[in-house]
Amino acid sequence: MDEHGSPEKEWLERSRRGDTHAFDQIVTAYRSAVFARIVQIVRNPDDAHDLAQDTFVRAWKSLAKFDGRHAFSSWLLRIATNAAIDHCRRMHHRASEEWDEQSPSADSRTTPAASPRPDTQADEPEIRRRIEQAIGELSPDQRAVLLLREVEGLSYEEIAAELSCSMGTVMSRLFHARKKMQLLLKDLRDAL
Amino acid sequence: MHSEDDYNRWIEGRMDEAERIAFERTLADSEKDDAEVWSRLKPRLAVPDATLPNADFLNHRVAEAIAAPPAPRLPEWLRPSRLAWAGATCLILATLTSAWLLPGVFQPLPESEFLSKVLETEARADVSAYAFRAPNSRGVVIWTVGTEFIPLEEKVQ
Repeated sequence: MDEHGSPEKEWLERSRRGDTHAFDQIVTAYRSAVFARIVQIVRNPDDAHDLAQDTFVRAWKSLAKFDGRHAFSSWLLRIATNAAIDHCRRMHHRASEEWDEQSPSADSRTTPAASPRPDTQADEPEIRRRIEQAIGELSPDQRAVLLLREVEGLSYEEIAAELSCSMGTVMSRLFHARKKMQLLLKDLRDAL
Repeated sequence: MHSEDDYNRWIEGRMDEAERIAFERTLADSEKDDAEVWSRLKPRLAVPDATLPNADFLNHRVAEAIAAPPAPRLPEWLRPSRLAWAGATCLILATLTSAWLLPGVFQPLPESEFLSKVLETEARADVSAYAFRAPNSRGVVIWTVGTEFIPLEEKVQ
């Protein structure tokens, strides 16, 4: 039994030997955590569902590389986080290409979009929509750092370990992400 | 705005005293500015419902994916090691065949026949022969000028 009271070690051993039923137990134990991590970054439940599946398949294929020095959950969530960031990069890249095709000028990209008139009070769904829009404007790396820190509550050190970068990089990305969010939501300052 | 390098130097204590104080002051100012807005924004950053829908369906899809048969393997004869062996065998056979066949094809003509053939052509090649005698042997040096005009099939000789 591990610290959570589940026979995780045994499941892992059996999974390493190719026992798919044991791996199914692992999927059941971690599916909610993996999904929650991914959905916070990609912001879309359907994509998150697919990426959760990819995460478990990648983990199954890489079980031999798991050396047990860290908790299995950390290892698995690291795979999930990276799958989510890769997905955001692909989407970001695609969105940039579409933007380039559609718009003759990309100079206005950081201008807050669809600002409500000063005399209209933004309602909660509108605020949510604007927040999602602003998150979508962040680079995938900034987005991941911001959400891992502010939503998942990870420490700088934990984020640096998950993203395989330095703490300075984490802090810098977080700083710029916050600034950009505030700039994009400037007109909502009073409505928040 | 600070760069990643500024943060790294700050964390690793590589800033001098004045630089560190200035850096920390800007950080503090930034935190002060942000704090109020950020405290109201932060609770709204989370996806409201992060509950996994169709949880068992995920298990099913993962089970299907990991149980799927591996990608079809190449036929035995297309495996790189087999191809390499087949290539080497073909090369050896070709070398042996050439070694056996070619000497017959390019059988050198007797010397007199060769000389007469050269002279019979209209190549206008000048041939000079010098005889010499050494203490233990004798020899003839045949000097040809204008071999570029000799027909190709004779040149091989």
